[in-house]
Amino acid sequence: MNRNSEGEAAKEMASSAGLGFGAKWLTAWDQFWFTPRQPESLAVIRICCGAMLVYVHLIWTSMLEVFMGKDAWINADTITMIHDRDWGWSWLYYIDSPTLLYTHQAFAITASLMMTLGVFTRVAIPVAWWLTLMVCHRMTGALFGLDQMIMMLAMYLTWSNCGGVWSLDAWMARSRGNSWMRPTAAPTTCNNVVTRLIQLHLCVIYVFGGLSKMRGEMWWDGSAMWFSIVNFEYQSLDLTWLGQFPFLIGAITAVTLFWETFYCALVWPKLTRPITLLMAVFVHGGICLALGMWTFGTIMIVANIAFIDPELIQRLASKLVRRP
Amino acid sequence: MSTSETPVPRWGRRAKLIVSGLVVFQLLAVLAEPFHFFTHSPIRGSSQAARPLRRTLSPYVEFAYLNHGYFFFAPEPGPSHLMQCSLTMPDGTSPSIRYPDKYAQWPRLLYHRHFMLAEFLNQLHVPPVDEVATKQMSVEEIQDWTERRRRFETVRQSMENHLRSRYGATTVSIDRMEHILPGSTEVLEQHLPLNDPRFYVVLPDTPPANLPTTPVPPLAIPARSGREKLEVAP
Repeated sequence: MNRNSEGEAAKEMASSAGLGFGAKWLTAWDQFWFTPRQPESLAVIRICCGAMLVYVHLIWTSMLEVFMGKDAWINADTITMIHDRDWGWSWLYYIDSPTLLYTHQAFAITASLMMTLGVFTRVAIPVAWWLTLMVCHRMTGALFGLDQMIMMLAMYLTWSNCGGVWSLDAWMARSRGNSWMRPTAAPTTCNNVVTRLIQLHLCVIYVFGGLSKMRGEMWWDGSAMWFSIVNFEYQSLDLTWLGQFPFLIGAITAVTLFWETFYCALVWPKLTRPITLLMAVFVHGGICLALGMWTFGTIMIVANIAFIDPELIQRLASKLVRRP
Repeated sequence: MSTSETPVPRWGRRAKLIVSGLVVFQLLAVLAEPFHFFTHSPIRGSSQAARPLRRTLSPYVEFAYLNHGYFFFAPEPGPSHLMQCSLTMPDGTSPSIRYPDKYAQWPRLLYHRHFMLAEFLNQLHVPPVDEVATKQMSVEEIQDWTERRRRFETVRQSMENHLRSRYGATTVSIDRMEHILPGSTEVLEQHLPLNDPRFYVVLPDTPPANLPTTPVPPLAIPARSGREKLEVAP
């Protein structure tokens, strides 16, 4: 897309508004939010997030009555009481029939699968988001970071053209042409707005994650990493041997703390972005392997794809396709 | 791969203004909860700047499931909390089940769901108060305590009912259990396994003054008990 013409348009808009010094800010705002962007990065996020939604719903469905049935861990009356002072609401508060619950989950799994494969993404993604939202409000108490992330990604993807590439929608568009239901693969402004929202949301998550750690003594004295790896309930890989190297434990703790706190600044410049994203892979990869939360670690890495240029992803994909 | 060359219409000024407004609203909604949560003080409540923002946006923030503090392993990685469930069966036997159990619940995500339920029960816990303490509390404090205690007891009762129904037990009682994080001496020198029974402590549901103290041995990196810290977010 012609960025110069976009910039010129923004300048015209700014000067016509007579904002003087504010014109520069207006131009920057316009370029940041309204420069059209290709859909490749969002398409990768769509595929991964959709697959994760399928998995999450399959797990709920495997013990549906235990979690949402009449005699669930948290029954309908109790979940209503838990949410009686907030705006959380789910139609699942009023459903405990196994048939209806399994039907609900069948729709949720189907919509998530369609999101992954890119079938009618305009409808499939909001439906998958909504049905998962209903489950989240019903399952308060059994949720964690994974649920926060998949809900965040699915909500934003709803407003994008992420089904424009690497999807059955795109395959159908080749013969039938683009329409509202078969989104274009061309750069669009809505792709950019969605990408920016994911990026900024991630920055908020990391900065508060980092600042909250800075309140803790153990993140400063270097022992936080030790107490993370000796947590038996989280542990999936025995790293207690690291305790033989206190310097290493302290260094990993400090690097994690500083990376998380300053991610929101370091991820924007081209110079520091690759190392910041590489650190994200290391930190979240570590959570996947050692702390038993491969789902959460994976979805965090997936969310970071929002910072990768879609043209780079397109080039990498082309190379992979051409490889014999 | 991009194949379409169809030109996409540019957004006009009005569309940009509307979307800019929506974007600012969304970003405020994303910030509202962590800001409110982060500035919270047990004595003074939250920041005067955070409260109106959070209150105004609460219908959207709470319904859209954006109400998260993002306190992952913060302020410190704390001990885990489990549920020690004691059952009485119709044949008179009294089995005991512990949740979560990484060897019983599989796949890992299913285990993690049970783990979060145990942590949730612990986070809701409000200890009972004795008569002497009640006399020293204001009417508002008593109302607040009564409400929070009712929530804890209702959730615990629901969980006990679930286990009674699931296992056909005649009675069920759930105790909260803390898994103390071992220090380097215990793991590397004494070679104690991480799930050594000595690291598990049943947390009493009694007025605070009656809490027994857990002995903490002097260690290179001392073991970690949850009672020392302010808050834990898994």
